[in-house]
Amino acid sequence: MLSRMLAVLLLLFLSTTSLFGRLGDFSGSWLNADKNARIISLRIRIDGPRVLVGAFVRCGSESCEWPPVEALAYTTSESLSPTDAAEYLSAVFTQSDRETTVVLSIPKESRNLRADVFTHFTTDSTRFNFVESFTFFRPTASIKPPSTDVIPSFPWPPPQASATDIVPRTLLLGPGAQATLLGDVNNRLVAALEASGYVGKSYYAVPDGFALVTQLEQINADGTSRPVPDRWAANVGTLHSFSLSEYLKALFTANVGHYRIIVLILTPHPFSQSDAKVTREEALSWIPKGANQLPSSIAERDFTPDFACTALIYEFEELHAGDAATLVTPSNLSGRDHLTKSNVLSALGR
Amino acid sequence: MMVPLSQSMKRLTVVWFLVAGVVCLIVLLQTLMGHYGDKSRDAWAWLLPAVLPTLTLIATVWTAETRGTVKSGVVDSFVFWLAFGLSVTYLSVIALTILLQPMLAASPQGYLDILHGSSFFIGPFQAVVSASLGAFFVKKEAGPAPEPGAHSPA
Repeated sequence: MLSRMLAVLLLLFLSTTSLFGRLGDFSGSWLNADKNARIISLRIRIDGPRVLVGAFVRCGSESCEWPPVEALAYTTSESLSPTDAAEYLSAVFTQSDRETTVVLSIPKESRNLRADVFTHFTTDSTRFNFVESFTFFRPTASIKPPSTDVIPSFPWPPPQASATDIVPRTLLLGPGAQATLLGDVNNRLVAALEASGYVGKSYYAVPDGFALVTQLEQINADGTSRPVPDRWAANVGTLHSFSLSEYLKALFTANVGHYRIIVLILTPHPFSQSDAKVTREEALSWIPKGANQLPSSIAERDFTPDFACTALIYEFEELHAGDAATLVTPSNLSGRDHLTKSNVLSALGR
Repeated sequence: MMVPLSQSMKRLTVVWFLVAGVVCLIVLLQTLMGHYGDKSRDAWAWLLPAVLPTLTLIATVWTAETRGTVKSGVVDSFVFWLAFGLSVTYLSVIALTILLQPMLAASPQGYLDILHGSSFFIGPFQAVVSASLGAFFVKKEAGPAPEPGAHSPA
C-alpha cells in the first residue's frame, strides 16, 4: 500500500511537468543508461488492454529476471483512454524482502524512458525505503544477438548464396504503418510466406536482428515451386500425376533436382557473404535446428530505417537423382526472380 | 490351315524391327540426353541381348530366303500366330519396361534396377519366344502359295 501511495504522490509531482505518450510508445525493450544500476533492462509488452512489464536486475554478480507483472496505465484525465494518452505506467514487483514500485514515463521530445523506482522493505526494519531514478533507452543497435541458449545464431557472415535481393522496405511496413517493431515485420513476412505455401520455417539470431529460414523446397528450372508433394520432398521422386510434357521429360532427360532455401535476414548492419559453401545437408538442418518462433527479446526491437531485409537464396542442383546436390553459384535467376517466382513478393504486396 | 510364308515372315519382321527400332531409338535418346547418367552402358547391356538375337535370326532367314532355292512356301497358321502373339507380347514387355520408368523410379540407378529386375522374367520369356520363332521357321514347307487372299491371316 505504501508503495502505491508513493506512486500516486510521484504522479502528482510529475504532473507539473509536460509529458506525453501513447501506450504503444512504451512497448519494447529498454536498457538502463546507468550500467551499474540494479535494474539492467525493462521489457514492456502491450497485450491488448493489458500492459506487462518485466525486468532484468542484478542478483549479486549475476543477472536474474523479475517476471512480467501487469502494470497500470495513467492519463492526465479520467476522460482520456490510456491507449491513446497514457503518460505513466506503474508496476509493482514483489520480492521476498521488499516491494519495488516502478513508475515509467516518456518525457516530452525524448526517446528515452524515465523510471522512478520506489523500494519498500517489507521485512527488514533496519533498512529504510528509498527511491531511485533512471533513464532507459531502446537498445536498437547496441546489443549483441541473444545467446545461443535462447535462439541459435545463423552462421555469420552468412555462407555464400546463389542469389540475393533486398526486399523493399515499403513491403515490410505495410500500408499506413508507422512505428514498427521487428515482430510486426516478422508477422508480415510470415503471412506472406504462408500465403506462398512456406509453412515450415525457423528463426536464427543475427547481429541486432534475426534470420527467417524457409523449408527446403523443390523448384522447377524457371524458379517456380514444384507442385505438392514433390515440392517438399527431400529427393526427386517419380511422376505422381500424368502430364505428357512431364512424362516425356522424365522419360528422356536426366531427372535433375533443383532445390531452394530462402533466408530472410533483418539486420541494421551491412554484411557480406563468406566464402563458405553450404551443402544441401547442412541447409536441410537449418529448419530443425532453428527456433520455432521469434523470441520477444528480438520481436520487441524497433524496426528502424537502418534495417534492411536481405533475401539470401540458396539453390542446390542434383544432376541425377540420388547424386549429391551441389550449391549453384551463381544462380541462373536473380534474387528478385526467385522472390517473384516463389510468389513471396506478390504476397508481401497484398 | 496354312498361311503364306513370305507374308507371315513380313509381318513378324515388321513387328520385330518396328518395335525394337522404336525401343532402341528411345534408349538412344535417353543415352544422349543423360537419362542414365554415366550408366548408359548398363542400359544397352540389358536391351541388346533382349532383342538382337531375334533380329539377327530374322535377318538371317531373310538373307537365306532371298538366296535360297525355296522362294515360296506355307506354314501352319497356328505356329505363325503363336510366334506372332508371343513376339508382340514380348516386345510389349520390353517397351513397357522402358516406358514405365518415370512412374517407377527417379534415378539412373533406379532405372537400371528396373531393367535388371525385369531380366528375371524377360530371360525365360525370351527363350519361349525364340522357341516359337524357331518352330515357325522350321515348320515351313515348300509348295505353291495359296491363292492371294484365300488363307490370308487377318
